[in-house]
Amino acid sequence: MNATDTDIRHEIVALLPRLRRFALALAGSRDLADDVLQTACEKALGRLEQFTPGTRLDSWMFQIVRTTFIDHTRRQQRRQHADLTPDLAESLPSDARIHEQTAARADLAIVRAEIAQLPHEQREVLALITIEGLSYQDAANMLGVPIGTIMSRLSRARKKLARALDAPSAGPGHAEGMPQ
Amino acid sequence: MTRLTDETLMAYADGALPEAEAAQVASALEHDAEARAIVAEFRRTAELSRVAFTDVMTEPVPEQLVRTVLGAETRGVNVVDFAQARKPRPSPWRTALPLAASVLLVLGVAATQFLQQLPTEHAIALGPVPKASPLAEVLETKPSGTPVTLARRATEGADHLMIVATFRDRKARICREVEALDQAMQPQLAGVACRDPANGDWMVEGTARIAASAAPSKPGYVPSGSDEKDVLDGLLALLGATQTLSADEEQNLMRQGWR
Repeated sequence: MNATDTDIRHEIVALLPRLRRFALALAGSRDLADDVLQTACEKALGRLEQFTPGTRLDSWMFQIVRTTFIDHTRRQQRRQHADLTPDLAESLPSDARIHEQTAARADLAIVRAEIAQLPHEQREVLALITIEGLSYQDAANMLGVPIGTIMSRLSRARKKLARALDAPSAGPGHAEGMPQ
Repeated sequence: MTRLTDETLMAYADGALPEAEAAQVASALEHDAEARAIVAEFRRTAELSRVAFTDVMTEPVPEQLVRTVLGAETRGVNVVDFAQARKPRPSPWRTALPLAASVLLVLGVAATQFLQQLPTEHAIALGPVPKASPLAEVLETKPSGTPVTLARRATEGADHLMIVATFRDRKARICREVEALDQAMQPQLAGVACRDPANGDWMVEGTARIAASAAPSKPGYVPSGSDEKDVLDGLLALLGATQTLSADEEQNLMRQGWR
């Protein structure tokens, strides 16, 4: 392991919380997100020499997490629905001390559930741009599509999200396999 | 005239429009309540999406992931003998200290809370150092070897903060080793914070707890072998610290705002 390698590894460690957030936004459940991230990290380490120093490591890692997630869902197509179902229960606090946060947390769990219901193309631009803070252009470069397409996907995702959140009866309980 | 499409209004809400175009949209919005509502809705969905995932950012990353990324490094750290290079401790009370009986190491290689974090009420906590905090002030303005008394004793057992040494890590960032001392000037907690040259923010990269008596090991902490020196040396080696700055160098850098 040379010095550059070590540096990159340290930088990836520093990125892990963000990568995990991104993986969770894509995958919808922590277990799947952590599986995907684990595989993605192994892939990244196997090709560290392909990373161009001076370019953005976060974008490089997001891309690897993204393709890993896509591979994963393709392989598990039949189980996809079960895997993509966000686990509402896990977002709820089990600890009595944080009881007062329950309501707020449940709301956020609903937002997460709705995001998980978005089509993949819309969900990934929402995750990259809105949650991870990439510019429209950076996301366009990463996904290899025109910036206009990125903006249209993102605006559709957010309109859909707004509609879903304003209509409680059509909330996450609507979705397949969701606990009521 | 800019057409107020959904995409344009979203880009406006996201602050992604060029200045001139943003100004056009802003003036068009003055007469268009419907468009204003759409902008508000885009802002709300952005805010909610971000907030919905913040808990993931503050919880510990599974150790397995950290180990995977660091690979062999977590097992065989190539320890630089930093203790040799470190300045002799300037404070007389140090010699009177019993060797710390138990030290818990939180491996904080690069800044974030990926392992079990010390409670935030600690004077030195892993992660970004809040701008106006006592720690930020000490890191930014105090020379090595000068204990600074904390105004408010809100932190667990810490009455003073003291910089122990200043060095550059392998990326040439300025890093400072800092200790939290109790009323009796006994060190309770040690940490290493590094300064981001891009924005001047300090980040605590690692902390070592120095307990007076044997504490039960907690999940998430990596119990160290024996004493404080091992722990800090491991941490410093990970950062690539080899040589401390002299008092003069430190003074000069501090005067220039660490640039």
